[in-house]
Amino acid sequence: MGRDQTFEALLDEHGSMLRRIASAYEAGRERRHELEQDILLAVWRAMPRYRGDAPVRAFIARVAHNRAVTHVAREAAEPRRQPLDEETPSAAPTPHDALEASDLQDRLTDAVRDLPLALRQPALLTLEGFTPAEIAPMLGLNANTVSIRLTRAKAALREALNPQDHS
Amino acid sequence: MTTPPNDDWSDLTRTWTDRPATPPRLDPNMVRTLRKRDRLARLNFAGELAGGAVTVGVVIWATLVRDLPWTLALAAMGFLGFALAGTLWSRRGDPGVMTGTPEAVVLSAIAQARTGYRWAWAGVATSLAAFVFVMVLAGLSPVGSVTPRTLLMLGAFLLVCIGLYVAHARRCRRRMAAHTATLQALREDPATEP
Repeated sequence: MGRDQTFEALLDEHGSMLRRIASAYEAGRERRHELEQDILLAVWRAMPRYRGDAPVRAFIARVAHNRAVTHVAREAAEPRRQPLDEETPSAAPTPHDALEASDLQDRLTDAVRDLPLALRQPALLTLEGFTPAEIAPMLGLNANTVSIRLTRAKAALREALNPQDHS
Repeated sequence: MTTPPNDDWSDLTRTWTDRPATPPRLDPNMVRTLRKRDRLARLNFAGELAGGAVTVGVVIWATLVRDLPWTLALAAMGFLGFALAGTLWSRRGDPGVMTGTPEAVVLSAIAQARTGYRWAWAGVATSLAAFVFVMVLAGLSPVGSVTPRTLLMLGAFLLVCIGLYVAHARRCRRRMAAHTATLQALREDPATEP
């Protein structure tokens, strides 16, 4: 199987995870699509380095996270602006979008996106089904630190999803 | 097979992963763009070194074959050596691209920005050295061979170059500051936050 075929097979299996990771780092649709593309490129470039010493899903997730962090750093360094134009669609949600945003998944995505970077990474990987022991080497942390961050992330997510419980 | 760390996360994990999602597809144009950028980045340094080597060859040839005065040859070699030192200094300590952890990625980004910052200031220094070199050249050359108009045009060109280098240095400094802030956020232990 060639490199392109292998990559296509990986996308079929893990593409959804990559899309969810991108959604946790970028809210805007266009920018999120750009980040998805950047992540795919990073994975495509990284695959030849995969030696099979970890599950391929963990390898891909780590590459995606590294690329997402680079994206965050780049956006912080050079935030892109666009001139105000009457044709520019408003950033305010449409009634349809507002209805969709009330959905639990969207609120969860927003809550994950609002987490500090140090909490967002372990939380996102946990939501993707990785254990603290698996997350620790992916983020270059020890398992105890990951667990502490997960506890705080869980509390922050719970508060964001159920604000009335914490008022 | 991986599993959520504890039951507390199960509902959220299910909510998170149950959404319908079409797997994204890679845009071939972006692959081509990426390859092109990679090639250009590698060629930049190679071009600087090759340009220096060619110039050294031309100076040696002109000295031996065309009787270029040795004082001019020495001045040219001095300028080339200065420019080469600046190029090498700007890339000193750059670890290249590291992708082991998010922190390593940010460290790489900081190193890249630092290299760009140094490269820009090395360019400013080289531009000034180029002007000094031309003044030396004018002083050593027969009277009238280097006209004031030529010097003026060269001075204007070098001023433009210096302006571009300074602007690049400013962009790199902003990138370094932003990457450093990201690194601090990554290293911040949330357990100590209020």
